[in-house]
Amino acid sequence: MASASADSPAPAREESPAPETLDKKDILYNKCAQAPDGTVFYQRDFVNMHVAENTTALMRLLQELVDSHLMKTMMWENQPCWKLRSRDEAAKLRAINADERHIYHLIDEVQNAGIWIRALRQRTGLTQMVLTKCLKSLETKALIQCVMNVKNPSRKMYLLKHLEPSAEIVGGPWQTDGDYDIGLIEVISNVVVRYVEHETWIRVPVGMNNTREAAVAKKKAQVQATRDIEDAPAVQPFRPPLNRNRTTLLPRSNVNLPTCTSILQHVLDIGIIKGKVIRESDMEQLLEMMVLDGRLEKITPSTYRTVRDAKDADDDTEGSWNGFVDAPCGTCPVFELCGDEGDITARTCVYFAEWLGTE
Amino acid sequence: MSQFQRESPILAQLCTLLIDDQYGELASRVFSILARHGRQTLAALSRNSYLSGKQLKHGLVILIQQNLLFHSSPGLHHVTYYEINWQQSYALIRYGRMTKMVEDRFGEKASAIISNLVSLGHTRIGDLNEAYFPSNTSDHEEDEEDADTHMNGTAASVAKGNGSTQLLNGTESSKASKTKINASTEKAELQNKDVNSDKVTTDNANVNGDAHTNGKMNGTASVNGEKPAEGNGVTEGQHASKSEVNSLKELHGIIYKLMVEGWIVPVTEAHFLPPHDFHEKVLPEIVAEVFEGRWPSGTKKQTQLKIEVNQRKRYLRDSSIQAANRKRSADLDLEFGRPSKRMRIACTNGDNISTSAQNEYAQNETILDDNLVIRFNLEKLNVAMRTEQLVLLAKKRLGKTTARVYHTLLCALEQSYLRCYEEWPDPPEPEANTHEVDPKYLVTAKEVTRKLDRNIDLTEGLDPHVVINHIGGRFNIVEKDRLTYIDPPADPSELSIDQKCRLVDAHLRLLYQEPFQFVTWYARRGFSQWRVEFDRLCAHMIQQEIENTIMARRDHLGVKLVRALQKKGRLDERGTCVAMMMPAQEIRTVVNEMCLWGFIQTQEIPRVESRMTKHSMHLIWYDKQRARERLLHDTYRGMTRIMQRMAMEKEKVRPVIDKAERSDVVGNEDKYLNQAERDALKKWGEVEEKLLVQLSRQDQLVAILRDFIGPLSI
Repeated sequence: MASASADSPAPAREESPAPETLDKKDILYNKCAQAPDGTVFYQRDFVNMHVAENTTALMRLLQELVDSHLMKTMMWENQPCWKLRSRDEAAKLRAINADERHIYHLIDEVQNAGIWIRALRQRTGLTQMVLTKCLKSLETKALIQCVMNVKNPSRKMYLLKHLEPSAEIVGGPWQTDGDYDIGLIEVISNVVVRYVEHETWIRVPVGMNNTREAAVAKKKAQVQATRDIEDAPAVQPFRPPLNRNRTTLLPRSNVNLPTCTSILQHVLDIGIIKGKVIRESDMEQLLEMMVLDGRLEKITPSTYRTVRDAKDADDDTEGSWNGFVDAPCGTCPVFELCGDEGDITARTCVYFAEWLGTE
Repeated sequence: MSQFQRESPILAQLCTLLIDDQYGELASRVFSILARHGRQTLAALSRNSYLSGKQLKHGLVILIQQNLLFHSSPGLHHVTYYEINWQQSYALIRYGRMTKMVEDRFGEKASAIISNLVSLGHTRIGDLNEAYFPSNTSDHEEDEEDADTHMNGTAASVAKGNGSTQLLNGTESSKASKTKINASTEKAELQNKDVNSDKVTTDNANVNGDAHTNGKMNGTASVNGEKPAEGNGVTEGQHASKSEVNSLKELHGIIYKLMVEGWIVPVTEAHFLPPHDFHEKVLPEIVAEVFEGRWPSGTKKQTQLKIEVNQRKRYLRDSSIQAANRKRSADLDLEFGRPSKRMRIACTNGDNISTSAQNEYAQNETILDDNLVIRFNLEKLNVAMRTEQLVLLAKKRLGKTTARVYHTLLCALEQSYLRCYEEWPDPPEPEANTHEVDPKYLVTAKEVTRKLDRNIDLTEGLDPHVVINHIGGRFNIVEKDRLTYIDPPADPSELSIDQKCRLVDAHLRLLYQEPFQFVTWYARRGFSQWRVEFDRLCAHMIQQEIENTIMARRDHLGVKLVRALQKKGRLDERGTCVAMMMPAQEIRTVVNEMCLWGFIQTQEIPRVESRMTKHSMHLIWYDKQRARERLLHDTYRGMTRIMQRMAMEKEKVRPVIDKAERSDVVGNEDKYLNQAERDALKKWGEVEEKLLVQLSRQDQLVAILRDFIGPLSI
């Protein structure tokens, strides 16, 4: 039934009451509480504790504990086994009614996977009204919590209060209340881009080697100045960069390209994220998204680098896409309606007129 | 060419406009009838149009001479069918580009010849000889007529082979048109081509569409069939010697060189057959020869048939070219086999080229057969355009120095590629060894270094640390204001060949490390040996252009969506949200618009029998091939609109243009034109240039989308 390995509330290690007032039930409980949290006990474990005289007595003791919610019964490979509950929790459980308890057990079974409200209704056979009332009551007693399922936003999922909902339900660190946290994603992306850019590119001034070349070019031009002016000069005339302060990015040589792991380490190191656990798979999801977004590019299956901004490149084709969309037709809102005759034609087109500067 | 025979109405419109612009109204009327009604006979043509039989024939002559039509006479009755050659018709827009490309690679003389070939259509060598070096300069008239009959004898002889000669009887005077579209494509010199088909009627049943070439290049040398004296070497200014061919030997040398490089191909019968007829012709031959006349049954034999047919088609198409290349290896190695010489011509830079080229051509002893008919190879132009586009892309991503290196590398490979992709390929062998590459598709860093322009500063565009590493010695790295410098600056002209090789190698490695992988490392020979995986790159370029278009029309979200769909396949709304890490509402509008533009497709899969919308899965997906075709189609449309707008703008200033072109006004503009007219002319010039530049850029887009790679599977 319930998985024995699943986390369970750690029984609080309270100071045991004075020995003389203890009955056997409490002795057994205390002995069990000495074991590490979440230990699962089999019948043979209890026998080894030497509390009960015989099996019948042991079984009675256990039944009492279970009845008072200090222990819960589970099955593991067809053998019964038991797990402790804290006294607080047990007290709370003792205070609820049968229906609520039934629901609580069902929710407890699924652990952090959560259970859908409709599944609860089917399993319990309760009416919607009763069920809602019970769930409300359990929620106010802080025994269970309601979370939204990111895969099916209309489904309300319930799980025990102290459990973290599984990533499947809440969708990892990038989502808050079922929606992608655009702000968080943006901030982290910027951090990643800055880090990766620093790792993979080197900034040099445009024409880093130009000063000397200029002299050479000039000299050559002088030597050949006697030639007829009609002839093309043999050397490229030296053109100083338009803006001397312009810089460009060049790919670094012999660089260890950042991987998902190293990027995650960097993000964790600068401590920008608080209260969220980011696993490598989450980071990978973000990086994949950034590749789609055109902010990173994949060099090998595991390494990334940033995309060089076209404006950085030292050419003059800035801001142009292709011949089609740079002409008015490419982005024309009525492109589909434009014909050879009728109201909208190339002849009467206002966009063309604007573009060409003719009216 | 079957892929290109899938015409669309918009392409038909575009081609009609182009033909109207270049060859006049009659030709475009005939063309548009063929475009509308498809393959048909002369009789059907006259039924479908209001043109007289005579007019129709004149129109057909022009179109056939320019190879804008296929024609064939299948069956016993020898009725000739005409069909449009879409590829060639569209290529009208590229004629200027051709001459420019050839000029960049082989100099002005070669480009003048190409320009002649372009304006004449396919041409007999003998006629070219005649045009350049008329045999009898004293007897004007006779000579002219001689040349005319020869010139058109080509068309006639081919037509005769198809049994349609008697139908054609050509007298045509098409309006002299300016093929400005092309000339200004590269903002190169304007080149006015007047294809005058004068009236020469003869009694015999031959075609006589008398075509005079008046190829005026750069206003310097003019090759003119009517005025032999001028064609024979009147020098006008310094430039003349560059673009003028001085001897028959030189002419043939240039032509032969262009043939070896694949820019000019001998005309074969296959060039005139519609693809379907070509197939029909080959198929029975194969069945008869390989399968002994029995139609093969069973998949295995069917596949074999397909392979054999493709093989035969390739053979028929390439045999004449291969013959030329064989001849080269036999006796022309001396002239053309030496890479050093080819290099000097390839990187035309300044006037030292013309002398070396002259020497080389002069050395050449090749004399071509007078009856050889040649034409320009459009497929080679695609190869050159591919080079150009790849270099542009590399420049955008890696800067100009690396792009120059890449350009040199691609040019070195160009000779090995006759076409961008094989249209009739063999099916890939499953166990084929893909690691072995034919050495002719490989190029080493050393070769690139040798062919590279000496004035390039190779240290640009590289990490200074790499530069120091390779050139070593007295240079240091200085870091100042978070910038990195080399100190002292390295003089590019002082680098040794070895250092240069290292730097070139470093540039090539940059190209290799790009996600695009512009080059692929092959071996260590000659510093490093590289190959270029063109198919992969061209598919990338298509994707790049689609993304560019989306980016300009919408924003990065559209691009992101397309990339997400391409990576993940079909997605429903949830899946899209997860892949893009965005809320569904924001994605919905993007999806909507992209569907409207036809870049992504939608699909509804019912989960229950009732097919209720609520119970269906709604998927979206991205099909690259579809998006490519869609964008191509839209581009054709954009080009048509530009042509229409240009005609309209020209109409507005028509009176002024007419006045400015009057013979008494030309040269005396200041005297006869008032200020307003001069302004109007200037404005028209600007408008025309802007439109033409955009037209040419759209043509580049068409090349990327259509010509570099066959249909994409996914």
